[in-house]
Amino acid sequence: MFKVSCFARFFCWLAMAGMLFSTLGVPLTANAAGGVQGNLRGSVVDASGAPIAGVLVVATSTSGKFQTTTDASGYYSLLQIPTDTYALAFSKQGFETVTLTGVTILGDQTQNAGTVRLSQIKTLAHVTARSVSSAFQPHQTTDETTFTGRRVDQALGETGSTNYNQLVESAPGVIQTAQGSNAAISIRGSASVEIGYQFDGIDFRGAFFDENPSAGFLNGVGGGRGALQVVSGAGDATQGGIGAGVVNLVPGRGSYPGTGFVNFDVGSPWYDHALGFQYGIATPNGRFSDFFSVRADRSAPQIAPYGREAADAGAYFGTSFTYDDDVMNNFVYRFGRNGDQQFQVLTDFIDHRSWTSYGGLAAAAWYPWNPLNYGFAETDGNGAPMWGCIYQNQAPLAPGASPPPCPSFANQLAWYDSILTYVQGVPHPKDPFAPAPAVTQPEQFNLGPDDVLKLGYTRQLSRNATLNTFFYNWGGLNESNITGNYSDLTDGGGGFFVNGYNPEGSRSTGVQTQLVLQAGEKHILTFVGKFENNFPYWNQQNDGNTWQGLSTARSYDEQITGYNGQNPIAGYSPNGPRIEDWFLPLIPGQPVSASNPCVGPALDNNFNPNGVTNMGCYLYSWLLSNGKWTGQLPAMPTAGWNYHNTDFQQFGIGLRDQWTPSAKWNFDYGIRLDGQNLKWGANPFSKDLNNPYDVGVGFAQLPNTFLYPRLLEPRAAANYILDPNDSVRVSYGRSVSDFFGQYAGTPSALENINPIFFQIPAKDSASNPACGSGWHPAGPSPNGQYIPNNNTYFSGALIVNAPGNFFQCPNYASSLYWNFDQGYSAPDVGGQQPSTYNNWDLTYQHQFKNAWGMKFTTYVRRGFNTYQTVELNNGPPNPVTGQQTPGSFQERETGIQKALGLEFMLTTPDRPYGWSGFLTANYINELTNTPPVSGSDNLPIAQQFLYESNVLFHQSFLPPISARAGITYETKSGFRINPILSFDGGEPFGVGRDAIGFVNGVLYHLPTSNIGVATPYAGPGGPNLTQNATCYVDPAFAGSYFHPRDFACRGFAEPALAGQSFTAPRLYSDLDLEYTKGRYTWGVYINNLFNNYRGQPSINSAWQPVANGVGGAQTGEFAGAFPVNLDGTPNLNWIAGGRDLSHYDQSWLPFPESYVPGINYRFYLRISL
Amino acid sequence: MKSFHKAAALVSIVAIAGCGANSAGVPITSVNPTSPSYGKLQFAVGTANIYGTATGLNVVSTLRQPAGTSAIGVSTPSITGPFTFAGGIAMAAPANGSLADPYTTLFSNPNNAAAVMGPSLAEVASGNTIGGTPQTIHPGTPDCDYTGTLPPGTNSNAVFTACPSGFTPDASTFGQSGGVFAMGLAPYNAFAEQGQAYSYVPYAQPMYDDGTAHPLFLPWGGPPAFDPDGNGMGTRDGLVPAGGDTFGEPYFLGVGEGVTVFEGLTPGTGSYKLNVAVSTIGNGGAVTTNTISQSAPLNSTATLPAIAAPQVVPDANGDGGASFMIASIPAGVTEELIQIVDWGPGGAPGATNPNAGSTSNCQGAKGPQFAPVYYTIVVKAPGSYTLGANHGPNTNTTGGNAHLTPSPSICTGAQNTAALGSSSLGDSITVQAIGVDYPAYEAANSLTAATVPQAPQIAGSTGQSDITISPPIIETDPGYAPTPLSGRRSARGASMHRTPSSRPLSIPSFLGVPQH
Repeated sequence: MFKVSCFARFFCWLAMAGMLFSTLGVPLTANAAGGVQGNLRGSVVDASGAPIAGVLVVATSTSGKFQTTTDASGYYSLLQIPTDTYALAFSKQGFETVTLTGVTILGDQTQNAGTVRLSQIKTLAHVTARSVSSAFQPHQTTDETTFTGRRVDQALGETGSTNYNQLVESAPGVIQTAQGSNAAISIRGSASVEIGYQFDGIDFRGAFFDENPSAGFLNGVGGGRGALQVVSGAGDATQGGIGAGVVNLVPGRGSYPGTGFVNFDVGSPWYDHALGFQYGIATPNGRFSDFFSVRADRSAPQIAPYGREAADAGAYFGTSFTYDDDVMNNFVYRFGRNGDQQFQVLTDFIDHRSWTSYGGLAAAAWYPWNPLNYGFAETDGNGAPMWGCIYQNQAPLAPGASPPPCPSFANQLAWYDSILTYVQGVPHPKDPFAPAPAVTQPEQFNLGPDDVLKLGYTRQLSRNATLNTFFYNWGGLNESNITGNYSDLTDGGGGFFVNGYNPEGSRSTGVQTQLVLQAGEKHILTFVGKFENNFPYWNQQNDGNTWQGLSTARSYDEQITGYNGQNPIAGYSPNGPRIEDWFLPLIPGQPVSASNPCVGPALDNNFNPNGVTNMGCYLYSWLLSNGKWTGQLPAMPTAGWNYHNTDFQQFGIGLRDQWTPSAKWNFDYGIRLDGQNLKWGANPFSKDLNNPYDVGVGFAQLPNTFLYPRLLEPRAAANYILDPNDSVRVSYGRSVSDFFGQYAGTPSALENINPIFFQIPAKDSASNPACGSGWHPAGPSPNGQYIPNNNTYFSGALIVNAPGNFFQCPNYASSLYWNFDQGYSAPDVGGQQPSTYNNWDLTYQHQFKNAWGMKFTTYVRRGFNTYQTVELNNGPPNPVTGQQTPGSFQERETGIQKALGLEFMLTTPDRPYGWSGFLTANYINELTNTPPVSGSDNLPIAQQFLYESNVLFHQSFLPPISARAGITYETKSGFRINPILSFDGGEPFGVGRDAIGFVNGVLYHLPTSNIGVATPYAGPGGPNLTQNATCYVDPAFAGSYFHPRDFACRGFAEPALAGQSFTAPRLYSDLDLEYTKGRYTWGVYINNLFNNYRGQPSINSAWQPVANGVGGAQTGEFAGAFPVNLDGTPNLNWIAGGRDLSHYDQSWLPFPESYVPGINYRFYLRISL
Repeated sequence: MKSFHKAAALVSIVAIAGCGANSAGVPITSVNPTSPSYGKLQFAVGTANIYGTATGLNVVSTLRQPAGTSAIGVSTPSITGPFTFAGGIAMAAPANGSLADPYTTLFSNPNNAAAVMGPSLAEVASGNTIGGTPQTIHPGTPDCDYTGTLPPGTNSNAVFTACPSGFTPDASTFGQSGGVFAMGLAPYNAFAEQGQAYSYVPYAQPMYDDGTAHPLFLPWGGPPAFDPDGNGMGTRDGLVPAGGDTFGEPYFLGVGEGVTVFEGLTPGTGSYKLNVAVSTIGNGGAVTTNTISQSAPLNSTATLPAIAAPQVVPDANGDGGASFMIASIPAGVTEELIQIVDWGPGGAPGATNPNAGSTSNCQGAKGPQFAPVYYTIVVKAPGSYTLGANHGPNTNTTGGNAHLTPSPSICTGAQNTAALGSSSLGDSITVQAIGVDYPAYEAANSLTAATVPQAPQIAGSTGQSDITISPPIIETDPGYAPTPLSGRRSARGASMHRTPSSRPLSIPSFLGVPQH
């Protein structure tokens, strides 16, 4: 029976409630993780070997003092104590006190301190003095690496460093990814979405792609406090919801006496300065402790050689300036009998902001808030005019006469301007010929802040039971930009957004509970549980989106009615909203008639801007006939995306047994259940609350395995101690990667709606309905009857070879909403189950005579149903061209991953002086059925047929061989030298000579080409881009798909498959030098000591082949230098701020090499406090 | 001391770390595109008898690398010689930015009702130069035709643009898209932003003709004469890439025959010269332009006799084949290319866009439903010739490489009715004869051979390359009586040219949800 005499009843209640729910089968608890706490066990005997009862065992570290007593068997355990390196003191009256040092407690691991004989003042045991960061951890059952104390300094050089990724990359199994990747690291070949990030044990992953919310900045670790843990693979049964591994940042804690430091950094040659401050303090009895850490950094930009703009190096979206503010406080209050209860308040306020390099956006349509951007709205997708006109003072039209041309462009512009609703901050294009607004600052693309709150409670319930529970609430705007998202900026050719704010982020609120029970002397049982509400947030609205919905619908009309040479579909009769609805008659204020016709470009007048149309003026006519015409049309609502309070609930429960049957064997096995409840936000335009996004057929199925996944994950590990210096371990675990926010798709929104649109009837009918996504099953629903309708813009025939089902729109606003949804974001959701992974690994550990430690691990990782972004096919391939015609994309779970790898780690003992350090090395061979597209871990939007080909590709974002070392030499006189070396054997490179495409309806492997279906599936930008082709076929005669006649190649001998050629090996060297005297430390950190500023090559997609390996004069150039045509009209090809690549370094080459930061220096002063 | 040794070792390690500095990752192998050992330029000229009513200049050229494929991906040709522009020639303006190549005057101007295609103002002013726009002109530079005032007598229908201050006229016949390739002048120059050529379609012939008298034609060579894969279906077997180029034109409807005939030029005897400027971008981005040249004589301005298109008669048994009779070969003509184009039932070419106007027939998706089907028969002596029954496009569009099914060459009414499901006539065809006094067919067809010669013969025994082109005839079901094909039948062609940002043919590209 638990005693609930504590004042923290709330937390005890939470814990009990969690256990109760678990008993009732209601999912409640449990993702632990890298683990911020572990267990200690051992026994005490006398000289004869007889157990001694009642021995006081006190474990002391900077994390606190924890104690227990031995039982009648001489056995003791300390459960759930913070990960740290402890000194153990064994004392009992009549015996001489014995002290053990260097006893490590790893997160979620049980450390066996062995047997202590009190009479001999000498330890037997199997514990050798080593740090928590030693590679040799003979009792370890799962693959975990911890960096703390001096090992952190060896990896980072400077104590005050904020380089999170550099520290993580020092762990075996962690490999630095190619430039441009979403995640800077990969664990055992994981894509970015398969990594788990934690902060003091709480899941700390971005909402949309599991990104690292700390944005690569480190705080709270270093200076002898805190730790960073990396768990590779599935981990134990207390860890869940994570595909490939976990990185857990464990902030430091206060201790007595208080210590800390303040450091000041300045960097050179580019602008860089930083301030760090941390201080940890505790009361002498350890009852109160507090650790406070602040990092503030300002730097710009990391482009080499020094002095170049990011844009000059082709890094148009490279960061030109960033700042990082991070304030963290970790407060712990221990209370109760012998301090057996603990209350923790951990807070962190993170504010990272970044700006691009301005004025250098190669293909930015809207930069900087280009007042000419309406040009992109003048025509539809087929180039037909879209604009109406406001006539003034026109006489009625004579019989047979044609309307006069629109008086001026200003009249057209006035029409356009009058029907739009502008979001805040977006300038109206009222003066098209005014110069673009001055660029006053770089564009901010990353906007914080994030905030973290953790409230933790730990209680030793009895000598054999400990409860740990915590509540957390964190979130914020961890990724957003103020002028539209990334693709808005890059889409110059067919830009279809206008400027808008694009805030996105999330908030996660959860509770996690862990109950650890000592069951006899050989079993430690752990019950874990977690429940979290995750609220992904994304709200982007603008008028341009609405316009694009109308433009898309119009384009489709043109195609299926035979415009532009296509075969018409007989009987097609669009009945959704169209831009023609917004046209005005020649004489506004009078009914539309023969003498006052509706004028504007439409299908029935061959898109003549001055033509009479019978398809237009719907809104005007309704308003006039209902007495609501005010002289102006109501403004067009804004459309976009809104997550409508979507809640992705996550939960997990786990049971784990750590069984120690003998001194040599350690078993660790268990099982857990992870689950989610995907609760979509309400849709104001759908009455079907159970299916707000109106899906359920074709690719948008909503099986329970998608909406309510429940997945079991067995975990088993064993460790065998061969001898005091050798051990082996083996483990198997199934892991699950939770669905993240992107699985909610792009739920449409329509806002800023004039109420009149709810009164205006829609144009559809019960027999020809136009509302709905097109993915809904036929039949009744709260929205009404769904029936198939070929006449609605988005016909399911495009995707699943059958008409979509729709319901009758209740009003024009609703039809406008669904028109946008149909044209822009369908299907929103739908898929299979979350990704699962089988992880096997085998480790041999050894401790050398000089106390060096090593571990060597081989692993196999197999992913099922892994995350992919897939273009939905519209049907069979084009019988002439062989091209599959794509529709929208969807997050799918049809991926495969196969990874085989080797990990190695070698560590020296921590020594106060002399040499110490570590070395890690990795080899990985990974195959996946996601084509290697961009030299990064970004998952491309790939065509369905690429997966149908059953081809496994080599991943493209990791070097197969990599290594990292941190070596320190310190003298008693205060000098310290710390080289940090990183090596990789080259990254996969090139697009390969193999293409996959349909020839006469059959999928073939073909030689890559720049035309037809044989375009490469690899390369930057996506699959099947002509400009990524290795060779160009002879335009005079191309040969056949099977025997193309290439006339010019880039000059690089591509291997058969992408990813099978590698860039040159690279070895980078950083060097940290310090001198400490008294409280003062002066240092310099030299980054990239030998100025290896060349990075990997990339394909120049703007290469103009003249001959083999030779580019033409327009290589790297873009049409975009002239904002205004000769006649004064806007040049639609103009890109404000656009620059030609060819003017900058190497962009004239077929394979320009990107830059990495060259040599730079950080000078610092650190003052110990 | 021990520590010192370790320190020395450390220094060594760190020094080794520098070994990878600034290493380039990718080896580049390249050739000198203008080296005579790499690219061989050939050039020949001759007279052109156009429809028996006009005289023009026939230009034949090849520029091939040793393997026989095109040597240069981007070049700027210019032709000089003792020719004159015919009086009253319609000088043309470019299409004012509506094309991927805004500088060429060889494509119709949508702002120009007359759809004038001709030499630019600057070329006419020069008197004897036909050229292109240098690649060194930055893409996006406004196209313009003249400086100062518009020259008097300029075609009033064209929309000419004055160059702004600091700009010189950049409109030209070939624009930036035209170059010299393995089989002559063509708009095949590589388009940097798309990784493709501007076009994979030969120039419509005759050049500078506005289609008033007769529709322009595309010199596509089809089966049975041009049959790259040897399966009788020419390039319409599905194995040869098909698609649309930056001008919106479908390719490869056949093998380019290398015919470039300039109407409106009056050739004079003397030496003609083809200059091919090749601009390459070198170390540091510097542009170097080299020119390779070749001269050709025109010793006689006499033209070959006028030639007539034969009447092609579909086989009476309705098998899809056809035959025709060549009673005689005009004097001087060594070979004739008889071009038969299938437009489907009721189809006919547009005036300025020879691909427009085809209709669905029994040949399925790869037939005129996509684009007109071209057949070519080479005639070197009088006699009876046949078009086999099954040279039509492959209809087995699901069979892959191994299960090709040819269709009837010219669908009969019964075949079309069966295929289309409604009563239908047989296919309409157009026929045209091209006579030459040089091995035009052998030179063009050599591109499809297993071993492609670098320098095929392109001049006849007289040292020049003369050509005679018959007026086209159209034959329609029923009866297939030969009827002269008049020009300006359709105004639709002009609208077919689209900018490179044109959407895919089927589904708007922005149907996809925005990336996030």
